[in-house]
Amino acid sequence: MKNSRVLFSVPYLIFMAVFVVFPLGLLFYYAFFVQGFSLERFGNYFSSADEMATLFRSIGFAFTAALFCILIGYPAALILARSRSKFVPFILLLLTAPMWVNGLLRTIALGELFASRGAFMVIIGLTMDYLPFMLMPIYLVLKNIDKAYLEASTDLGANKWTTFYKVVLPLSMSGIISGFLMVFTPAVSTYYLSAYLGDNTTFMLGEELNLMFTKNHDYSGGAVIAIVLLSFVLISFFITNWLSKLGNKRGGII
Amino acid sequence: MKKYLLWLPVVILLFFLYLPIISIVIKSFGNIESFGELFTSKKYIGAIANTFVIAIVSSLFATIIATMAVVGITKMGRRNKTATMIVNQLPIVNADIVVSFSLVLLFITLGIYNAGYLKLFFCHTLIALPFVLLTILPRMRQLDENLYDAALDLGATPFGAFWRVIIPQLMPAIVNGFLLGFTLSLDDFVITQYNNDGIHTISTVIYSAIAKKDIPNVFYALTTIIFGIILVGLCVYNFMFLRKRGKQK
Repeated sequence: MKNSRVLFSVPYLIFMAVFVVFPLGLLFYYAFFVQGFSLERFGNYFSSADEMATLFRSIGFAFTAALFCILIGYPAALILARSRSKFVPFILLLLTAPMWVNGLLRTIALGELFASRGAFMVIIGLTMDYLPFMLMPIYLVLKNIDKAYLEASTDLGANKWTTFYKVVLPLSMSGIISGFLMVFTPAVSTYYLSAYLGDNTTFMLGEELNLMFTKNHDYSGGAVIAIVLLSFVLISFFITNWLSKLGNKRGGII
Repeated sequence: MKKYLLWLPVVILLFFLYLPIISIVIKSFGNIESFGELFTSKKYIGAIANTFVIAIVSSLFATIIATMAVVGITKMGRRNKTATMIVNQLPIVNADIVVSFSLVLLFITLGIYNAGYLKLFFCHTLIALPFVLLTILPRMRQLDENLYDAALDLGATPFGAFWRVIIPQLMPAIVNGFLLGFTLSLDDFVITQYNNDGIHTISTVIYSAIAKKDIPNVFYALTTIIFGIILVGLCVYNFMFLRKRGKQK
């Protein structure tokens, strides 16, 4: 009778097995096992110059957008973390509120404001979409830095800039890294944003997967790209886990 | 003066984030009759209704499954718990398009083609479920471990203990989880686009309108209304709730 508790999670476990684990297994099946086991599709993928150009272009766009997010988000996060204003919680809510507006409509509205299309617009769009994901982790880390470290640094003769560079920045590194991953991972797989704000030189992985599915009906080819995208997710997942373990060891600062 | 200049990065950031939304609001007021159309036009009211019905049904379903799940998960052994939490994390971190594509493969494999709403109910439950679980789980951890066992010892059935003891304790987290699931479902585009079988939601109607380069003004009006409600809600929450809490301190 006392073990009846675990039984309550059975519907959840069945649901997750059917809709998460099994479909991910199917991706691998379609990529490797249709008509017998073969690595051919991956060989072809990684030796094709076109495919590699799309892969590195996607990485480049997502990386640049994440960098922009740091450049815009960090100063704002620092100001908000330092401020004693009672409006700070309200401003934080304001910063996340745009995410409640339909993402598709926001992208279209941004596109209508600017006449140009291309790589720059894609990066602006990605930056706008994912900025709150960068801001929040950095804000939380900065907020948790013990004030005593800053006082110690000043007492030891460091000026404001040295304190920032040698104390605050290293201590906030974990926030920057997790913010980076939270921006990079969804940005690298975007598809309607680059299709709408980009031109014929901004073809990205997400668009490619979409084409494979809607136009070519090439499920195995789609599965290969899906696995490439999945590997980005898994890498960032492990980095995040590693960071939080590191954080627990050091008492939660980093 | 210098004090206000310091806030410049925050102001720029807010301006940047709100630029498209301001443009949407201006557009909706430029076409004031679209607010009326929102409630009269049969063409779009179906998609709007679909969006809300799917969001309510799926997040309700997700909330029920997640609430039951946390009761068991907190009792699991360490390894099973870790494995469960990793699987729970997968759809959260995974790209929308990869999740959509894998669901397409699932439905092909199972031979489910024109299932109408049913497919979307399942897909949207999947969108909400991991987040709802993560919202309720911390609250369950805070509960006294012996509460459930005490209820059983006093003669309650497992279901009775769950319904009369656990659920009331978890209620605030359950409501939060439901609301989170509801918004996530409302906002989804990619997963719906791939698995809709001809059932349209706000997002898919907007998407098909992009190709025609003519976004129905109705959706700008709807966005203005929803965002207006959210902004007013945030203001009320901030200035009444937070102030009250400040006083209690």
